[in-house]
Amino acid sequence: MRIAVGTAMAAETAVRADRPEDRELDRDFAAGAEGSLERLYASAAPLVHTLALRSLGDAAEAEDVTQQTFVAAWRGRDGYRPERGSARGWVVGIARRRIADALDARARERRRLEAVADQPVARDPDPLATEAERIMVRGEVESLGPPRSTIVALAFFEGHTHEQIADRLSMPLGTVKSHLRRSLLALRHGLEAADASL
Amino acid sequence: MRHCDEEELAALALGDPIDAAAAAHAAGCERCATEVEDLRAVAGRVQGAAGVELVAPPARVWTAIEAEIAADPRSSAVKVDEGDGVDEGPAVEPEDELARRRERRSPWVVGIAAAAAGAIIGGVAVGLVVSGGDDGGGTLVAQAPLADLATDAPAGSARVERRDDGTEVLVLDTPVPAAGDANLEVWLIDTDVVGMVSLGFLTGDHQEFEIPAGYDVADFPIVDVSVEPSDGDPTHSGDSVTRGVLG
Repeated sequence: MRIAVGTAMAAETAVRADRPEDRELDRDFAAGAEGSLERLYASAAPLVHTLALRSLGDAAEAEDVTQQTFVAAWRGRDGYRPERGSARGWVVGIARRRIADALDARARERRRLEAVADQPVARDPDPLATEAERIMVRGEVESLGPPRSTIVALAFFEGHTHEQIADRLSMPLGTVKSHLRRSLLALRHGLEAADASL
Repeated sequence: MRHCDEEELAALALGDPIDAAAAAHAAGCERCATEVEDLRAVAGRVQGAAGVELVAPPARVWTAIEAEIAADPRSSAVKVDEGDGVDEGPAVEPEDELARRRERRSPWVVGIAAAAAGAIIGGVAVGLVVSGGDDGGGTLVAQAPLADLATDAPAGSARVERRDDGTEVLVLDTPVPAAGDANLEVWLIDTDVVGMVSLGFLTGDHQEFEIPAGYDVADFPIVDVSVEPSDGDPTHSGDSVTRGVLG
């Protein structure tokens, strides 16, 4: 038992040491520190905007949802608990609810126009959840930063072998493999943190 | 035998060969096998994100966010704590309360939380129905014709009046729609149809509802009556029957 705990703690420290700036951002944002919203925006706005764009299919609406989400996040930062999960995941969660509401409002409006008032509003949040999950993962990959984000994209998104990646990036094979391992561990940590607050 | 370290676990998950002794351990160790499975699942999730291209919003969105926050005295508290101890945090806003409420909290909890934050004086007035009758006791703030959403036929009117003590009331004169076993709930909703606050249940064709302090009808101009099944879910059912927009 002591060994297991020790290993887990070592793993935690090692992975966190990879991206200490994330936890720092989470804490700063929770404390309402100056500039923290801008940093969170830089990190999470592409996720929120992409989710809104893909779900709503309208550029103006997507910008609007992005704006609302970050204003609401700032005003509601008291409700964010950094110990529970990442601020990035939390913000994507806010965006998801806003988008779901916007889709609901559309459905209501459509129903109103069609005057079929006794039909219940169809609400299937699953496509949105799936989309949010994929975008969240994409964001975690992005936040690995180069060269890891590139290596992960080549390996997992484009299906290149480790040898092909080594070749393409003129990098020793062992380095590619090592980057992929570290990346996988960092992604697990990042996704756990995001899942926790989504 | 020691457990595999995380590098070894990640290597196994990625299908890379590792040290023979470590590999032999992992094959027979439930804990290490679980870790590898876990990492494989992460790898699977990552593969699932193939084809997603992130699109950053244009720069004007951040400009608009900054402007909106700066323009709002309630949230522009970008205060740097001077370090003399307790940070009380900003006043809790109706919008935040709504966001929390939509996470299936009782509106009573919201009212109490808001009161605790000093946003509502007199606290638990949220949702309390004020006695009917007694027209003309206040200043008219806004009004709206109401319409039946199914037919678009006129369905009475709504008025917001401010009393001498500063409280605002929504006065509804509307026929009570048939709702069977369900209740009819009165809401004020923002123009995005995102934020909303419940004022209480509609039980008569002339009724007054006190508007909780902190809710500006300019921000929540949509008067909405919904059919709410008695299912214990405090959120809006999505089944609106009557609406009007205060102006």
